[in-house]
Amino acid sequence: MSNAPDDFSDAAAPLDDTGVPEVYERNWVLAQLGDDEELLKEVIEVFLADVPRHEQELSRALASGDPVLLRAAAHSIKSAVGNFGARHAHTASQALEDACVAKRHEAFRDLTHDVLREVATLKHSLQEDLARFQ
Amino acid sequence: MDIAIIEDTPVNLLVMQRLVARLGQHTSHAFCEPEPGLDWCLANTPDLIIVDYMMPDMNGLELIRHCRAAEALKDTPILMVTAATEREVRYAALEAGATDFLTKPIDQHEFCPRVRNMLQLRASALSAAHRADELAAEVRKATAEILHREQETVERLAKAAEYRDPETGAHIQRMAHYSVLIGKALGLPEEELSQLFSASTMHDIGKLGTPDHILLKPGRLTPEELAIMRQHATIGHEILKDSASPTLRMAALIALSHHEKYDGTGYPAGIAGDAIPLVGRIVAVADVFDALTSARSYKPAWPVEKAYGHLQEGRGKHFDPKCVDAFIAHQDEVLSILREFADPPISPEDTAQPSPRQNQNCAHAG
Repeated sequence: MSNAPDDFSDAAAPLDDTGVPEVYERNWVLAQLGDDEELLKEVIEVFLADVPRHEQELSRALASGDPVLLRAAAHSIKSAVGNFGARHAHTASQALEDACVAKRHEAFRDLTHDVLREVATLKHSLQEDLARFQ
Repeated sequence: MDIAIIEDTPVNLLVMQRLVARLGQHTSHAFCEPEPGLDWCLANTPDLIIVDYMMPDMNGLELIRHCRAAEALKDTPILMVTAATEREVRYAALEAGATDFLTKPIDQHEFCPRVRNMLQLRASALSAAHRADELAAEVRKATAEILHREQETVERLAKAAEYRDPETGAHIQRMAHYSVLIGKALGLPEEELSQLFSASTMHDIGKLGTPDHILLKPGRLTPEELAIMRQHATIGHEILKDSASPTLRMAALIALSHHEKYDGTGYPAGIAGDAIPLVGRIVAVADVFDALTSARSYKPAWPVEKAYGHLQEGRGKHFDPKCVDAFIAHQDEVLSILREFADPPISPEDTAQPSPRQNQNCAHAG
């Protein structure tokens, strides 16, 4: 059973069979949930159902240009993706949060797009996993 | 135990609920909005509150402050679980009153033991509070038993005096009620009225020290015998004084002072006015009224109106005016007491010609 992913860098990321860093740490998540596959399925479903809300809030916050709103949206995504040990999504969210705190408006757009891209990747990976349950 | 989980991200809420479910027979109450969560906590006093930091409308710090401001939640364990890693957030949470703090992502190896420990502390605190309540109830019960025993002892002592002087009948019962009637009208607090009820019954306990040949003499007492009889006031005081019981200390004052007269012509000390303890002034009225309205072997009972007239005549001389006025203002209650604690009728053979002793007793009453 792997330890908690408190180090979200790629250097610490587990690798899949082809040597590519995993999008999310399935084994770790399963261990957190007591090796309960049914519960993992439920957790994935709840997250996927909530992703559109996160994406909309993030896009609206970017459009508003308000760093407080943008930070809150990034923080919320970071909190949610952290449950899956999704390093890239977590790191991207943290980077956007940091930019908001520093009021680096020039970085908001690119960093927001990074978050949305990583969330989409995570979503795709989780949907594939969900399909295996059925 | 009841656990409230307040977290606006659905997947976090689900994970925490499932982890809590693994800890045993606890009921988790999940809220994805802070205000309904806070309202529920205020109304239901959960055993643990798990709260996120960054939430819309009210953040976790504000929620914790609201909880701590409420009497019902001031001691409830609160665990903040947040993805915020800044040290300042941790400090602020602890300052606001969070019991513990965890960072996300939620790691069950840390979350579960922390929650379990906090619930155990809560159970211990509740147990200690319950035990404290039980002990307080036991103390109250024990105190009530002691007071009851004290009252019973007082009543039995009063009965002991009554047995030596066979003329009193239900005198001490009526005395106690008359005394409380006057005391209540004068505004004495409940605790003092309760003490007065018991203490007044012992006003003549000093007669235990009066020799039989004087106490039971049918004829007129000589001046020397009268002086000895009057010693019952100081003897009663000696018997009862310096007790640890407030009731017996009051009884000592009553025994000593209930034969003093408002104008200073009473005994044993000849003190006057407010120098006479109030309880002594109260019992003086009650004692004389009852003596007048009771039948004795040497006299019939006076009509109540005549007895009131005697009190009025003695107002300011024998009796404290306030005590007389208070007593006369409650004539209906006086009649109720007379009826409830009536002496058995005395047979015609017992109602003898007025004896010299009668004259001395009336002088005692006057």
